[in-house]
Amino acid sequence: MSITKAAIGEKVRTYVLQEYYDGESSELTDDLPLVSSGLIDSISILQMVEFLEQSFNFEFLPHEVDEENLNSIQQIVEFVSTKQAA
Amino acid sequence: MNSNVLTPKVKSPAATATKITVWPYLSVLLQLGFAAVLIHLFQIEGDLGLPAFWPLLIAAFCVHALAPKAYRPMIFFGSFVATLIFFLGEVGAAKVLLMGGVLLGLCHLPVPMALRRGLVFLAGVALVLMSTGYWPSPLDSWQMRIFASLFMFRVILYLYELPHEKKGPSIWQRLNYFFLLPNIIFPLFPIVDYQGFQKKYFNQKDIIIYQRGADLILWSLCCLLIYRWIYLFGIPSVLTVDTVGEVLHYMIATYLTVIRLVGLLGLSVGILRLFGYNLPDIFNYMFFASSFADLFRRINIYWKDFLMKICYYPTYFRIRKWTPTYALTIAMAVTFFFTWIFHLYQWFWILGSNPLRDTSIIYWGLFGVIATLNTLFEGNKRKAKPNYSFQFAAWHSFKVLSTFLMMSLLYSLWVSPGVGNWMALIITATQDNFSHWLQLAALLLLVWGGAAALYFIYLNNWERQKKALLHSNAILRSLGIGFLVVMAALAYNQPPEDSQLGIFIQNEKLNEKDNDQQFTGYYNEVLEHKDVASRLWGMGFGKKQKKDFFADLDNVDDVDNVMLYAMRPNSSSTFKGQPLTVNRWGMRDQDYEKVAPPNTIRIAMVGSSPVMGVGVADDEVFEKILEDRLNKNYGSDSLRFELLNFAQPSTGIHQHAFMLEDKIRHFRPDYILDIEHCRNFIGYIRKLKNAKDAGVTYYPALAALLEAENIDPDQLSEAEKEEKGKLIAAWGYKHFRQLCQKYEIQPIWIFLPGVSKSNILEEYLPMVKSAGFEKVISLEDIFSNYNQKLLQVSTEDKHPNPQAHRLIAQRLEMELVRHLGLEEQ
Repeated sequence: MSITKAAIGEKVRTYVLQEYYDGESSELTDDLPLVSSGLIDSISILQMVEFLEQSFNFEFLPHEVDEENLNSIQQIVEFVSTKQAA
Repeated sequence: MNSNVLTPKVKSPAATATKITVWPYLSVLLQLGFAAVLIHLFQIEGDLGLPAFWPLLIAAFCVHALAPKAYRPMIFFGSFVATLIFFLGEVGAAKVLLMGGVLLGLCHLPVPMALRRGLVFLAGVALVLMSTGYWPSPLDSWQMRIFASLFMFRVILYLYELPHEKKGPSIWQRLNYFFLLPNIIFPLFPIVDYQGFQKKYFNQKDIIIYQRGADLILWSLCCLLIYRWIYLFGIPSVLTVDTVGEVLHYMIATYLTVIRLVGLLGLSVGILRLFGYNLPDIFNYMFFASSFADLFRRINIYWKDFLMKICYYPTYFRIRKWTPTYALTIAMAVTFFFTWIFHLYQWFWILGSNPLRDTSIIYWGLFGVIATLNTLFEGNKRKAKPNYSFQFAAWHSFKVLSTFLMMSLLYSLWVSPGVGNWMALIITATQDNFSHWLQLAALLLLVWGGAAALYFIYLNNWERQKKALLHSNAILRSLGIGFLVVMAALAYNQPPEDSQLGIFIQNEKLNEKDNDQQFTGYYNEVLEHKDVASRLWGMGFGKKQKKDFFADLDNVDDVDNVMLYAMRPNSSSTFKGQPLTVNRWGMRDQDYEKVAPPNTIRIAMVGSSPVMGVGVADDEVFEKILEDRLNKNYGSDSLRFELLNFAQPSTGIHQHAFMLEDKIRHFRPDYILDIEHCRNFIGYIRKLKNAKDAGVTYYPALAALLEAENIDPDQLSEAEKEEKGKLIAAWGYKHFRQLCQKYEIQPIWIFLPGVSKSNILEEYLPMVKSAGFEKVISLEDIFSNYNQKLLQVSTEDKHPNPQAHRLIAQRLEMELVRHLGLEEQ
């Protein structure tokens, strides 16, 4: 069962606020860089991968763990939507 | 930059806007010009070719920035080709490009990806065989080094990404990914992420990317100058390290030399930004890491991301069905194992030698274990909420300080010539008295307290209020430029050569003696193509230092005569990264019978380290080349030549005379070549003092002379040493000449200048002639038509490199033919 992009975004946003982001929640915009800014590093990104897989019921491939797919909430939402549609 | 930006539109309303637009570009150009001045004044990374490279870079930047965007990738590639030709010549450049083209072609063959990967792997094996000499190689070592830096890692990443590529970039962008301009001079910039390289190309307004490039370049130059200062004045000699505090000082200073890598990699990224490749920074304030896992994230981020992509994620995904902690541990262990393997791999491709060392195994093993444990520990912790208390500041400072000290300890192990050398340091520290340990503990507590206070102030005045401190580009830029302007002004005023500042500016890093005794480390060795023989493991003079000259060479024995030490017969080892074989007579040479075969002209050679061939392989020493050439060009069934190399480092005429009497005469050579550098005469006093300190009796006749002249090496001023040294040298030459007469050997005195050292031939010549040397050969101008820095082994090691040895052999062949009358034969 697929869920809306808005719902994906909200869930991801809550997770980022809880696990990585220590600023004001209003400052966490959908296009704020998460990986390239160093907020999430390439080691702890695996926690994010686990979270996304469990929450949205799909599996990552190794090469998909990438800045292109995970650098912002917006990119994560797009990636999750694509995976769910596949 | 837009192509019409620099086109003035006079008297039109747009003119004003154009002028305003042009200024930022001119500003970047000015900053690059300023960098050029600094690089020239300080000869920054001169031995890597940076001063020669920089004007080409500025020209390429201007052409690229003025060109329409569509042509820029092509122009970047053209800049690479032109620069490559400048450094390697047309033929060398063509070879590198052709071989690169073949490798790239294999990646795109219309066959399954697995087969393409297999073919590239086989090509790699073929290159290994070429690099190790099993197959003939079309590339010489310099060309191979550049080729390796272009392909050794990037082809792995390229093949990894190729199957997942959604929208392929243009052929020019593919070529540009491999043929990166900075690699021509910086081999230690082999990893660039393929996706990032393509996606970040002009991903912002061009001037913003250019300015980011200029900022990083100036910042990197600051790093390189700071590194130079630390290298020259910050690292104590290991021989003077006696207390635990000094050991710690040595270790910290050694670790800080990694700033050079920060500078060089930063410079490389800065250069790429000037061409629109908006790549991220490579280092992220690594000295402020609060754990080993944190350090791994901050130090060489490109390298870390490569390992994550190639090792960590694939391993983790393969085994993550097991328990997560187990999977994470295994993935980290595999990643660190490959970190070590890839360091060896990099070493092999750039240096072409076997890099396996006990210190690197222990270093990477320990680093891996600590970082893995650290990651596991951090992985189980939730994100800490912002905390601005002093307690938090103190705890964080403690972690930063501990990580820094621990890393200094480990890094000093990695760059040590051997575990034994490093253990000697640790033993020195542990055997120090308790009061020194207490003093050090008090000092560290003070540093910790200061760091905690500063961090507390920072947290509450900047971090808490979301204000930038040093993250502001404007502040950083002003600080960096200010520092560099001061440096440039200091250099422009030309301080005295022997002042600390003068030494710093000239970057004459090692004195003559220290050329033989160098400190380096993994990165410097890979950068400069040389091996460990730390200058720190032996500075100054004396028997102890002579032994330390061979710190990483185990086939040397002390002897109780004026030679002080001798090469062990029938031994072989690696010295300064090159094979060093000693024959049964204790010479670095092939084997010879004691009695020369009939119809043989036997020539003995004596000299110091350049003649022995320090820094080059056995078959690259000019003596060997010369012998081969003489036999090939002038030999026949009835005439052979044998050249016996009796040279030994740190020897002068007195040692040569001793060797002549003690050993050489038994081989009954027809000629003896005394090959000398002719440096200052103080060296003779020093050698005398070494012998005296070692309890060795010098020649009785010389001892009588010393007494008659009232020469006491311990009591003389520097000026007196120079004057008396001349007297002692003159005695040595006369004695040598007399021995030659006695044993009926014809002496030929040869002046061999240093590759980049001033020598004082004019003071030697009258002395040599008055001693009775009839045949004198001066090779004074042998290196004068060459870029001398390209003829030395490395930045600090000014010994002749293989190319210089070939030049010496060619010239000596010509001279000997004339002096020995071989033309007539």
